[in-house]
Amino acid sequence: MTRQLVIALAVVLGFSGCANFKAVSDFAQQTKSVSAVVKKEFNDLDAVCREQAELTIVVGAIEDEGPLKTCAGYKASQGRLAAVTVDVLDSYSRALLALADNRNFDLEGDITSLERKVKSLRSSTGEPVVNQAEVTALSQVVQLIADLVTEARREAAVKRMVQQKENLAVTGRILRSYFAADPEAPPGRAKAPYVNQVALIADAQTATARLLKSDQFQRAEPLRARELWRASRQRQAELARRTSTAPEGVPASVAAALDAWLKALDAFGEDALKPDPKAFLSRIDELRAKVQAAQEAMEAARSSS
Amino acid sequence: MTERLEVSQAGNTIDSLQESFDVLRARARALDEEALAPGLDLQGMQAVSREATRLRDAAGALVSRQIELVAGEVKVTAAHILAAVKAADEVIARIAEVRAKLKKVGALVDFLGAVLTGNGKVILQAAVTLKGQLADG
Repeated sequence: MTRQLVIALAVVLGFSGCANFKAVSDFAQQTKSVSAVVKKEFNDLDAVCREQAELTIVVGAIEDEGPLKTCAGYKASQGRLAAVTVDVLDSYSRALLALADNRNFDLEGDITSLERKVKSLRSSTGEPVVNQAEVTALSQVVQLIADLVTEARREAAVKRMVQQKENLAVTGRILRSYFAADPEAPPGRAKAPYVNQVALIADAQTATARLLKSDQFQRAEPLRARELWRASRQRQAELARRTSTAPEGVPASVAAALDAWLKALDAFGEDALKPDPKAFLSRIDELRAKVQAAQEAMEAARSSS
Repeated sequence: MTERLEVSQAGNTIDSLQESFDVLRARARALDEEALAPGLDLQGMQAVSREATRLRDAAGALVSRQIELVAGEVKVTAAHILAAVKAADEVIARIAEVRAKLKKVGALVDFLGAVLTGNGKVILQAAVTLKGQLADG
């Protein structure tokens, strides 16, 4: 009887406060998916921008590479800031996933470059908007991941990752602000960078398509005009999904996925170390659905071309 | 009345250029329309289209990066930029002749290039040049 009691006590004590590694693993997996969604959209938008720029150059008989430089500028400014945050998120999710699944992980190479990138945000000229508090938050997450490479105790490591909740939320909010304006921002404030950039690319697409349909173009180079017009039409559908403000449009669905991730992160901080984290699991389910919706929106944009 | 301008401190930036962006984007779209005017030949159409593209590129650059002001120079604000952009836009809107219009658009694009330097002195000089070019002809 005493022996059974001791075993029961050991079981109870052993499980209380013990991280639910399955839930942690699910969260890490979804965090990885969120960062993959964002990364993919950056790449897709850059590709659309460059393809449209090539067309603009040809149709307008532009002698320099101005439109292509503009695309490079987009990528180098907000894109650079966002890329750094995505990399931080990605490394965090990989480290967390490895801990949750009890696997070894080696991120040292990635961490070195991440630290360098985050530090480079401190030099301000020509760099994207980032305030000192955000740089500190990113640096702290990077520092933690670097420490975890040598962290042997799995549960203690997960606890330390949970403690980075607030800094991680900063990362999520920076990314969200790239795609959608803060819903609580007063009217007249700057639109999200993504919205401005896509609007300009879409304007360029409309302009080139109309020029190619003009009598002047049709008369001068009928075959070439038709061929280029077809290429332009391919961009049109892709851009329509990106300029759309509907919930199923690309920016709204990516922002919704990031919102769901922020909610799940909140529950991760509260519940991750509980044996039966019901609220956390429910948020992970919501997150999974939103990530899938964002992936579908992006896929629809690609397949509509 | 002359406005006394402050001197920029280290870390000052030109924020909130969204309104200037909106004016520039609308002007570029108006140029896209004008490129399709029936009287233009292919080369004329392309010339208008090129200026619309330059204006769009300049507008994109304005909102895609943080413009940090050079310390110790004049502190230019988003309101100053907007005033110059609006003044230029009003002049451009009134001009009917294509070549003259494109010249003014070119002057506006040059001014926006100066804005991107973040150097208050350069921006101020560019604003004076723009004002002269808008008044000219």
